[in-house]
Amino acid sequence: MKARIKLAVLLTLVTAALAVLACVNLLHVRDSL
Amino acid sequence: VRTFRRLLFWCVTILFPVPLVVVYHAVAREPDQLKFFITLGLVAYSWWLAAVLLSVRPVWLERLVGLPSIYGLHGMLGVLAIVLAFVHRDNSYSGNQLAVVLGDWGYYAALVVLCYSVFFLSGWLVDRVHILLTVKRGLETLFRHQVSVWLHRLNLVVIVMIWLHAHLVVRVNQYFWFMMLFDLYTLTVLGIYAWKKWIAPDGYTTGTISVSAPLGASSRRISISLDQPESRLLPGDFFFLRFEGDPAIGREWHPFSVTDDDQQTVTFTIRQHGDYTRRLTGVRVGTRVRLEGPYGRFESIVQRHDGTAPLVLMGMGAGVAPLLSLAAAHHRTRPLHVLWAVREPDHAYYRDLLEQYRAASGGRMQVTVQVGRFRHAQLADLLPAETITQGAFFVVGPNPAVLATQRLLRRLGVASRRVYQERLTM
Repeated sequence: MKARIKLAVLLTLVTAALAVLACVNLLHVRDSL
Repeated sequence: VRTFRRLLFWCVTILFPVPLVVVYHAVAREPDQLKFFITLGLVAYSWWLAAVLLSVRPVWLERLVGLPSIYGLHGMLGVLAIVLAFVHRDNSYSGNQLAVVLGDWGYYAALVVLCYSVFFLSGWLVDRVHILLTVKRGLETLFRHQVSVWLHRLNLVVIVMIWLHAHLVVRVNQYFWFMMLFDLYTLTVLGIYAWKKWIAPDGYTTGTISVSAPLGASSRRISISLDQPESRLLPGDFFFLRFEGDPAIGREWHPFSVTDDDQQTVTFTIRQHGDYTRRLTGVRVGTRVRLEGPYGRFESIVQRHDGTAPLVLMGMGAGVAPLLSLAAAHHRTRPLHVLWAVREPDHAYYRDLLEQYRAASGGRMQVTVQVGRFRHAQLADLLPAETITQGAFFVVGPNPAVLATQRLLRRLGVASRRVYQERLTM
């Protein structure tokens, strides 16, 4: 059970990081134009 | 089959950067020459990530290709990545000063980690040059194994630096889909690494120490009563162990071979030679232990060999441990010769057990225990021609002794594809 909660936390963190990075990457594209 | 699997494993890992490179080339509009040098940087970064991925050492992969192969490629990728990073750094340019500084620092930090790891953690140099081994042993009083492991983890800092470096370079960061793939690579590898360190141990086998007793002057026998029988355990296997709740020992993971073929209570023979293993003198009965594994390929190799061909089990010192469990499993069914070299007469603590196996083997098993290494003439005398040409040889012991024995067997005419080895230190 504990391992499942940890896994859920990790997957949430990775997904959130990817979402933030998507925004950062869009900003990069805007800056380069 | 063994070579094919290993080749496939190497190819898949080496090709790890391909999707990233293909996407970059599909979207980038830079001059070809610059694209080429940026590609080198991408490949170097991806290989560095792949090396981190291999350090996770999944059991299924180990059963396919073996741990030496995994760690061998882990190290090779580190070296190749540094070479490519050097060429990339020497031939690329960027207007962003922070990107340049981060790239430089990442490169130098990676170089330090690599040099340190090659010397202290791999056996590439110290197992082959005796003077370097002496230097390493001297320096180990200063740089304990745990310090080495932490320095090794600096490579995660290298990843963050290079990741940031790429995010600051306009020639790279302007391509949205490429950057998303670049970030996906990084996050996937860091996520898997975090899973391995933080979550995976919760699912490992656990047990309690039931016996901790000295064996001779410099070894120890530790038995662990498992909470649940380990049905995946095969003869010759090993586990990475972590002793819990004893601050004097620490929470490091170390590999040890199982000495018998019991799946409920596993017994380990530990040579107390290094800084960590000496601390195990203080380990108490009742201490909780976590076991990562089981790892090992010896039993699957035995099963693949012709059942009538002899097995030759050559152990040096505590290296006899996994061979004893192979002998326990096969002494009644296969021709078997155990050759055990020990340093001192009182180090032959399993002589009686081996004699028991021999007596019960119906003439199938031979045992030779001696003080000091086996020599060429002696092995030529002990091993019949049929054994030399058809036998499967399993060699386990300290790294330099294993390498010396492999050379000896080659000189005797044993084909190297029939010699399987496991080294005690890593």
